[in-house]
Amino acid sequence: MAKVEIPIEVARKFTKGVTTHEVEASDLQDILISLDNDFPGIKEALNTGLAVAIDSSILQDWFLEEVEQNSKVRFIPAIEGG
Amino acid sequence: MTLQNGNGHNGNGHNGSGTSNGYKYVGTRPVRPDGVDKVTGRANFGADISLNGMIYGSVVRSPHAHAKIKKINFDKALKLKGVKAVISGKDFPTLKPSDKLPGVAPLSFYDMSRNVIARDKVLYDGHAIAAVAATTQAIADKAAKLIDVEYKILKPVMTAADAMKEKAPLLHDDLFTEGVDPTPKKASNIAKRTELKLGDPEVAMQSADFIVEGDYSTETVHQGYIEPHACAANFAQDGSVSIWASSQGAFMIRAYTARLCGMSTSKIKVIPAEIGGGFGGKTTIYLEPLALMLAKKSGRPVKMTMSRTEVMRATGPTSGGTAHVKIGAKKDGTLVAGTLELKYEAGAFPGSPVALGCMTGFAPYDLKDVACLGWDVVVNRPKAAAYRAPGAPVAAYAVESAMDELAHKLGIDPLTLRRKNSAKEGTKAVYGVEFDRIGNEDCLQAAQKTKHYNTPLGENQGRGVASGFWFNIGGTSSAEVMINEDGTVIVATGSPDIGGSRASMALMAAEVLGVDVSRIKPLVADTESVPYSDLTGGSRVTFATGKAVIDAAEDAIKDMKRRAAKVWKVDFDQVDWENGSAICIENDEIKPMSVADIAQIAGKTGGAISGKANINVTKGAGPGFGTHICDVEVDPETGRVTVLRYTAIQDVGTAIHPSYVEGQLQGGAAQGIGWALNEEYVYSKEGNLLNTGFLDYRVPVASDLPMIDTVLVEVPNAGHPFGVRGVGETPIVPPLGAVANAVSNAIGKRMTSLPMSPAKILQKIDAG
Repeated sequence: MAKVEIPIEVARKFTKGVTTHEVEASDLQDILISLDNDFPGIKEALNTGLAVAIDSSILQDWFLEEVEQNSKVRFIPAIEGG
Repeated sequence: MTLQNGNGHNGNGHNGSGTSNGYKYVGTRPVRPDGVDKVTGRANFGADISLNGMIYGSVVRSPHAHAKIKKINFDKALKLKGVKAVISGKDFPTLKPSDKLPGVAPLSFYDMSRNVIARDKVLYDGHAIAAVAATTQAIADKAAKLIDVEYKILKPVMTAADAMKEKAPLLHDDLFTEGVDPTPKKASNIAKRTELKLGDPEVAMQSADFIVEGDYSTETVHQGYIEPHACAANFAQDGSVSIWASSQGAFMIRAYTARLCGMSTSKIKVIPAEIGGGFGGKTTIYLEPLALMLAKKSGRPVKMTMSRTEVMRATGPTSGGTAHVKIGAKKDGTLVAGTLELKYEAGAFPGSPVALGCMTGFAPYDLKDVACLGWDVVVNRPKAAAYRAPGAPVAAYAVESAMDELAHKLGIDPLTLRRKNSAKEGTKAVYGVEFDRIGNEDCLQAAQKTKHYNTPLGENQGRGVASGFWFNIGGTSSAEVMINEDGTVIVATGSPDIGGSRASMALMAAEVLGVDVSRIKPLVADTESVPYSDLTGGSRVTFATGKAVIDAAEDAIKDMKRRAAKVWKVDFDQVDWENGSAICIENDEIKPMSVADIAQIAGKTGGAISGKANINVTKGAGPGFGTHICDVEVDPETGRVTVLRYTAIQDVGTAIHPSYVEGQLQGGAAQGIGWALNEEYVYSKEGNLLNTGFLDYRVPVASDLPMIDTVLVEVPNAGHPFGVRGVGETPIVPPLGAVANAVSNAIGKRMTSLPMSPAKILQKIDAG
């Protein structure tokens, strides 16, 4: 099970404030679909303006990246630069 | 880890003897390929373009900070001889709030379009309202003055604090605060709330023996690039358009302009001009859609160039903001908790970098219990644009000031306090990600060992230190490596060179190919000559585009090995590549073929030789940490600050071209010193910008500063073949705190407001 952390603002809106979720998934799309099944509408919220960190790697442009059984997946604010 | 003390090198170029890092070309200092043309005036910047039949554009800008546009009358302007076209917001497609750039950072084209040219409302002094094109610049400027605009003036709101008040005038009646639940039904100037939290800082704070807490403020500052925005647009008979523009991304210009003008990207070609500084401020568009529409209406090529005043009034400054910081520590200096609340002014449209401030402020420290809250607030100022390490310097200023105060309270050396609590491999940042191998501790250690840090100070002098962090990013990049008939090499990328990246691309290609760097010509291609690349920003080019160049060079080598195998009549796997030549592995009697040898018979072995790579580097951009040391002397009579000595220490990964890496550190430090001491947007009470030129908006010049010393800490990034980390963002993060701490220590009072003008310093001294 991947350990998925979502932003506090998204959690307040969709998951009654729970930021950490255990999700059975093989890639990031699986995670979105699984969470959206439990919390309808969360997929769009997580797809908007957020980067993803899988363990220590931050993915700015993510889509189908694979996740391991014990991966820590975090949705974080997107990073821009000057 | 290796250390390079900067400024001792003379930059005389590659001597062919290799480097201490084990590479032959990477780490050497050849003269930049674009350097001579730039210093002799031959390089073509945005304003240098000249086209047959070209006419000139001028923009009508709002004299009010906040007003409704009741009517625009072009009659008088159109009667002026030489005027060829006029445009207003009505000439552009109407976009909806849902029109956004898809992807991770959903840029609003709805806002961008209204920023480029106002529709029913002007939102800041200098907001573009209309534009005119005429046969000379003088006629265009005169015609612009003849365009009558009738306004209903509204009360402006100029600061985040005022804009957040319950009864503040609203900039947008369709802006509802994001990040709060339930979504408010009442419009607000607060665009977004962002919260990050680890552990429970409130509870942890109770275990602190010492707590420091304070409020800090900064003003709007501009990126201060030397070259004003400029472009030219020309329509062809088939309805396609060519745009010459100075920017940080030709593909960015193409995509944004196409969207705002309702055109297909395939109809727009963008040719990158040389760029005279960007620092993030040229990651968006201002003039290009106006020039395109004027060219379309007039049927003539149109050039538009901003004056310095226009640059200051209407292009992206960075956010001013306030910070409230609180840090708790044990008696031995162990940090137990930290909290930070940031309020950033986004300008006229949402999108300040406050979330990035929240993510970066405490990043140099290992804190298990930490929280950051950010507010993105619209005000009647120009829409904020990116500026090196967007959002990070203001947050770091507050945190690093508090760390200095804490060091004093605890009686601990400020670098020792930072080392004791430094983030390291495995530390979880407030945004929830654990760091890989980073050079934070290495930088602090190197700083503590510098001669600078161990030199005694004199009377009225103070020393400040501060740390800083930036993520660095990857992104989409493309490259093509083309082997010429004589064995010389072209390296084409779509990444504008704003910091010496052409030299870095050439060095990396040289290292892979084994070809002398002097035989490699790097170039920045237009949008129809190379595949798409993200813009130059976020310290991504040497890392990500560099990776593309490496891959493309390897692709070219593969092609050359294939041809050698064909000539030698051996299997492909019998051919290897060594020192710029194909060699036959099992038969050393076969003479190796150099790149030039293979290039000479290219026609006979299959035609032209090239390698290409189109990649999206989604991970592996190693984060950057830096520590700066600043010595100042404060004149107690006048409040004048003299920066006596400054050293920037940074983990730069492998320095591909150390001189340009040092230049990034020096430039970031200089800009940060200006932010700390001099620079600020000064507005009248009506919301008019009062200091629109470099005489009144004072950036540091060479005579204001000592030589900025640098120490390059080279902790190779495992995510890049040569160990590259981005270097351009991090060096602007520590200076605000370092200078503020130096001044505070010189006068014995904490400076909590930037810029630290002589008047503010005297006021603090006199406060007793």
